Amino acid sequence: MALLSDVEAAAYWNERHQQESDLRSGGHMAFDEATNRMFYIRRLALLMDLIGLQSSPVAPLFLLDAGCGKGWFSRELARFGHQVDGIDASEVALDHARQEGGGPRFHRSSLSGWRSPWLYDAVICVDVLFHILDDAEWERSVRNLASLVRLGGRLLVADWHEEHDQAFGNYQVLRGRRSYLPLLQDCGLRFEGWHPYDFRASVIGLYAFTRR
Amino acid sequence: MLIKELPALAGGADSVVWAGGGNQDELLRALLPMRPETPRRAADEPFDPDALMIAFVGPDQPPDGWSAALRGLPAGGRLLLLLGWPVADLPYHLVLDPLVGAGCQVLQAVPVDKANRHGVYCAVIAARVERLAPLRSYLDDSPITLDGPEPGLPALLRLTGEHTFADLVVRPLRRRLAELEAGDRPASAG
Repeated sequence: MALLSDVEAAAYWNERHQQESDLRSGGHMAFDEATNRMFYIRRLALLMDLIGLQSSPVAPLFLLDAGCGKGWFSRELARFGHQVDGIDASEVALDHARQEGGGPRFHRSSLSGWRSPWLYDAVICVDVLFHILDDAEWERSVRNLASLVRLGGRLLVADWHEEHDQAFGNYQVLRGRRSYLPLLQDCGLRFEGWHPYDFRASVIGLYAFTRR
Repeated sequence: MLIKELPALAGGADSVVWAGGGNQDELLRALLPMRPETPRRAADEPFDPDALMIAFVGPDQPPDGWSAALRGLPAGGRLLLLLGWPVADLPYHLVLDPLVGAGCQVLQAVPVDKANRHGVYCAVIAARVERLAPLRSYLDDSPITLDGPEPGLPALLRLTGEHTFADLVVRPLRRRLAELEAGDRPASAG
């Protein structure tokens, strides 16, 4: 099956964010809204473990939610007291995110195109990179996200834990250890581990890297 | 971060050496609520390697008492410095000079919750070092080291690079903040 072109993929995500319910649109299409809520909370708990359980209203952690969609993770992390920037390529999703408010700043940007005068304590990218179908753009995205992580900061990216890459359907390319580990080591990050979602039959989890 | 979380962040406190400032009894109760019997040693006694030196510095405290005690800290000795200024107003030059002068490395600087109860707005974990100690992350409650026994050249290049760029980009923000503060002040009658 041929993968979607960039234009087709952008249209797909705008349409999906427009037509699907809040969580399902950026979550797992096979699950209903209630199951997606469990899925979101499961992933949020994993993020909490990896970002840490401290917060400060006066000197907060700075986080980037790369590919934030409608902003659920951004809002929840902001509710923990963190300062969150959310970026996404879908204007439809961002309109929704801005209407919800809740503290984060939302910007329209691709993952490879986000520019910032500040580095982040943690950059998270939850279930987004495997929707970047073009390998060159995927690499540009990973390199750009890594460059935004400050010394001691973390990069948390979701993908599967197999060695190899594999396309599923026409809008997912899962990439494995052989793609992530050498690339991010080259970016100055240390691989800390892979943490599975352990949600139903999901094969996805979070790769955790630290800027050393 | 809660004040009672600080001793663990500093690597534990089998005994404490109070180096000056603040209300020692009240602050130790806040720091070690579950271990009120923790032995206390005088700053002029030989320093136990498992001891934690603690001092409070704030707006109404003379800055020199704790810094004199600091000079008695042996290599590897740890200091928990409690600070009585709000983070946004922290005059860190007052503590940085004595720390560096005593051969201490700042390992972590963290905000502290509930300052209205104990007067501690933030805290510094420091250690007397003979070579650079491993770096730590911001707000990490179980400190992780970023490198090996001491930072390698890549980490130091990264550290100095981040410092230099942050120093640049914070300048327009400081200027903007000053403009906003000036705008908030009522115009003078003159």
